[in-house]
Amino acid sequence: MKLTVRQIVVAGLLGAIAILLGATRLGFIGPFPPLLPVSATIMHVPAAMGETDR
Amino acid sequence: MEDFELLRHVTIGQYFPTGSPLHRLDPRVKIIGVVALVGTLVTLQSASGVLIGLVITFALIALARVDVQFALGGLAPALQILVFLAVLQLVFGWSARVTNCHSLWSFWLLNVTTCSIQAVVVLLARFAALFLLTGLLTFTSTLSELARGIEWLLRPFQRVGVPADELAMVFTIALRFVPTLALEMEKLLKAQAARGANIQSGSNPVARTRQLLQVLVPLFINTLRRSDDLTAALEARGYTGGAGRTYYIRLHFQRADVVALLVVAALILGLFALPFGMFDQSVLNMLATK
Repeated sequence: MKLTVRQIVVAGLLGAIAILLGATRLGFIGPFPPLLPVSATIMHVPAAMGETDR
Repeated sequence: MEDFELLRHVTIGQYFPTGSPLHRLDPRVKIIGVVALVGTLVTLQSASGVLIGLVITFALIALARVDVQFALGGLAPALQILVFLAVLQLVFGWSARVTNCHSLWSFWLLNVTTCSIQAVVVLLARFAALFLLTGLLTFTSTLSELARGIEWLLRPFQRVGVPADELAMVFTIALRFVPTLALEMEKLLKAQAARGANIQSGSNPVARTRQLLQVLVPLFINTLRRSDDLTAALEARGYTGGAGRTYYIRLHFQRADVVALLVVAALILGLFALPFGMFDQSVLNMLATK
C-alpha cells in the first residue's frame, strides 16, 4: 500500500482534529437526554472528510 | 474565559525538555515499556496490583520531572463519565449473589458489595494509570524520536505491506498539530463568542450542533488549506514517502536502555507474581466484618 504525500498529511491533520475533539469533549454533543452520560458525537466527521478528500 | 483555554485539557502531544534519565532513554525502549505496562495494567484484576501500578506510574512521572498537576489536568474532561461509571459499578453490585462477596448496603435493586468497591478502585486506578502512562511517552520524547521508534517497531510488518514510515509520519503530524489546532480552535471560539455566540452551553442538541458548526467549518477549511501548504513543503524538501529515506541521527541501544528494559520486565513480573489477590481478599474480609 503506497500513500501519497498529500494522503499522509491529510490523514495526520484530520487525526489531530479527532484527538482535539475527543480530548476537549467538543466532539460530544450532550448529555442527551440530560443527566445521563449519553452523548451524540461528531467524532466521525474527520474520518468522513478524509474519505471524501482521497 | 477559562472555557476557551483548550490547551489546558490537551496534555497529549506536549513535550517537556527536563533532561531527566527517562528523556535520555531510547524511544523504542520507552514505547515498548509503556505498551508492556499498559498491557499489564489492563490484564491485572487485583485492586492492590493496579494501585501498585498507579504508584509506579507516579514514580515514573516524578523521575521524568514532569508537573503531576499538569499531567493529571488532561483527566478533567473525562471526570464526569468516570464518576458516573464508578457510581454504577458501586451500586449495582449484583455479583454478590454469585460469588463470595459480602453485601455492605442494599436497597431495592441497588447493592453495594465488597466486590463492587474493589471494582471501583480497579476502574479509577487503571484509568488514571493508563492516561498518565500514555502522556508520559509524549512528555519525555520528542515527536521525531517517537516517529523513529514507531517506524523501527513497525519495520517487520513492512514485509506484509504495512507502510511503516508513512504511518510514523501520519502519527508525527497528528501529534504535532494537536497544540496548533487547539490554539486555532481557541481563536475561533473567542471570535464567535465576541460575536455573541454561546457555543459551549445549551441543552438542545440540534441547536448546539448548529452552534458548533460555526467553529468546526472554519477549522476544517483552515486545516485543509494547511494540508496543501504542508504537502508542498514536504515535497519541496524531497519527501516522497518511505522509500529510500535516511536519517541524520540513528538510534543505538545503550547500556541504560537495556537496564530500563530489565527494570520494566522485573516490575511486570512482580505485578503478576505477587499474591495481590490474597491481600485484596483479606482487605475485603476486614471491610465485611466492620
